[in-house]
Amino acid sequence: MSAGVTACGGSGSSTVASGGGSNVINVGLVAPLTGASAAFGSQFKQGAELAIDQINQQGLVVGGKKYTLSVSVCDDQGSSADAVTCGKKLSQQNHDVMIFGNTSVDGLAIESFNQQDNFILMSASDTPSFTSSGNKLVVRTYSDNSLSTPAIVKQFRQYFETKGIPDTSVADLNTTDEVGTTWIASFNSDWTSGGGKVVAKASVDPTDTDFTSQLQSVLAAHPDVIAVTSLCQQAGLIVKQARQMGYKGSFVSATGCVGGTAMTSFAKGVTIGTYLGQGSIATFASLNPGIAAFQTAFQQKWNTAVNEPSAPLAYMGLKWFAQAVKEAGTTTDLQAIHTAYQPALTKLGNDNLLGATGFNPQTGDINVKAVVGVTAQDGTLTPFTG
Amino acid sequence: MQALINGIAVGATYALIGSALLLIFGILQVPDFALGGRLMAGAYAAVLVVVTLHQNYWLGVAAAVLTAVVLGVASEWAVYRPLRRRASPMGGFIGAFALLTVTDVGVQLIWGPNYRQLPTSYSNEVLRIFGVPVETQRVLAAGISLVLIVAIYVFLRLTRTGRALRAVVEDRQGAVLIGISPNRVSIIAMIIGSAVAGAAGSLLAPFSLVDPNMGDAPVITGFIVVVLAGMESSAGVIVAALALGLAESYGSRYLNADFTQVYGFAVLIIALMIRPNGLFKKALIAR
Repeated sequence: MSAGVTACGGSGSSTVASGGGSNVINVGLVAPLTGASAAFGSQFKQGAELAIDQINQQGLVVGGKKYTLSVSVCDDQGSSADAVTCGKKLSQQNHDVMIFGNTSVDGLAIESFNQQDNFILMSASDTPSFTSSGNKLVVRTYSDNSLSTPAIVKQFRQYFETKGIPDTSVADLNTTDEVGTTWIASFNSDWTSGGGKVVAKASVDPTDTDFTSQLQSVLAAHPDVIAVTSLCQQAGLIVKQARQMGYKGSFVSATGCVGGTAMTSFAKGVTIGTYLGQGSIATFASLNPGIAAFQTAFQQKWNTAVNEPSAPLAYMGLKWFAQAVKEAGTTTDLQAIHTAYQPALTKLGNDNLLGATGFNPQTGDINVKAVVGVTAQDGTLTPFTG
Repeated sequence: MQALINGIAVGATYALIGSALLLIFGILQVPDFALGGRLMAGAYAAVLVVVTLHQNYWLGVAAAVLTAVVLGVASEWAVYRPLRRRASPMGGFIGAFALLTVTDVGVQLIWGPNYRQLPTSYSNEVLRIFGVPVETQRVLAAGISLVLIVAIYVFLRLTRTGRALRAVVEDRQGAVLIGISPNRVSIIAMIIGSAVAGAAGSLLAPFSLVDPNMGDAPVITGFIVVVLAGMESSAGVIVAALALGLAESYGSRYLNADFTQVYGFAVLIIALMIRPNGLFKKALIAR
């Protein structure tokens, strides 16, 4: 389906144009395709390109004319400075209508000029400030931490109470990136306001693979629970190394890793114990038939499984954007498209992988139901419904 | 006790990588950051042999060593040697960074960006040392690192080729005058240094993750060790590496675990303020 790929200089970028029509809507992706976060960024790109293929195959009709989506991808290497370069390049050279960043690293950096350069900015940011600056052309595609963690912490503690597992004291083992620091701040606030204690804090680099120094520090405080914010591979190693160092308690995890085999396969040979992760409906195929369909299509197109949460986010984001353009009936009136994200959400059907229940055109915020996942020893991941 | 054992285990692997960097720097006069790429490529070779081809872990280690050596020799022939002839002193530095980038990107193109694992029969075993639980693979990595460091030391001191290498480090022009070929010793240094990098990659991989950037952090730490040691002393590298490992371990345990990576740089800065030429400038064991 993809007709061509070209690479540009500077921050690496490529273009995938699909279909044969002359009416083209340009969109851009900004994600780390090289560097430490390449696995996360690559699946973001793959999820988006799968959506583009399906949209173009089905046909995108806007105001009676048939359009195709053309996507340009820019590698920001996980750096906000490179994200700015990418955003400028995509908007000024390609005249992209919409640019989609895969984390707050891109979103917050590009947000400073998207209105001025006239494009819609979508971002899987979970930082509150992304939608609080009055920017009229931003769209959040994941839940705001400050809104989701109170409910998640409540469910974590409810699970522990139900199972009779000690959960008074928690030790933080958060990543030093923006996702880790903002999530742990919200988490600590909600944990302590619910009567819990934070007894130790340590941070790890998102690229770390040896956590013994940090673990010996937090384990000295004998926490009931360790809170981690790493992606699944690192989370698996943290579980393994903590168990090998004699830790008997539980783990809770941020959006970086809900759990399941994506985590347990990196903790082979040790007792997982209690591992709870913050997820969304997109994590559980049993909660939305669209998820299994997406996973199958992803596997067929890319010959690899969905390993990163970035893949369904990108897929849903592109489907949502296309639906919004269709609803707005225009490809040039950005404000109209932005407003149309609300009715578009209700028409996404099973492609609403996150189970988002509402969009606020005034702020660009969405409502996403957070779901706690429980990981069993064999990697089976099930939602905890309370 | 936990902090002491962890510090020594970590320090031993720092010492191994530092020793390889020091050897190459001493002969080629190049800060060979690309060693991190060869360490990583070696780990991927081990994954290929152990995971894909279902062979023994030690065959994987051998494949890692071989891969790193081939890449190292190719780097010397294709990049470092031409740069030594033509470019400015910065040429080697830039060449090393270019090689590291090419290796990282090349491996990502072949293997993809996803993390991989190198499981071994030791991965899930835990030893108790003075009552402290330590992963067996970690003990193995530390032990083999120390053996390899001693082997390099013995080679440099007791063999004819080793003495030739030391002669080039001491006085390159003088060594040429007595018939020692700088190009030949450069290749030998690159083979030994790369073999050590490959071994390090396959020893570290079972308790970490294999990805295209896995060599970047170890090579930076290795350079901190080399600078701390004074850029010349192989015994100094061992002491500096253990000091660094212990600083990280004790700093995390008793000061603040948020700054684990900062302690290494703090030790370096303080040491260089006290002894600007490094801690072991006078103790030239390799000479």
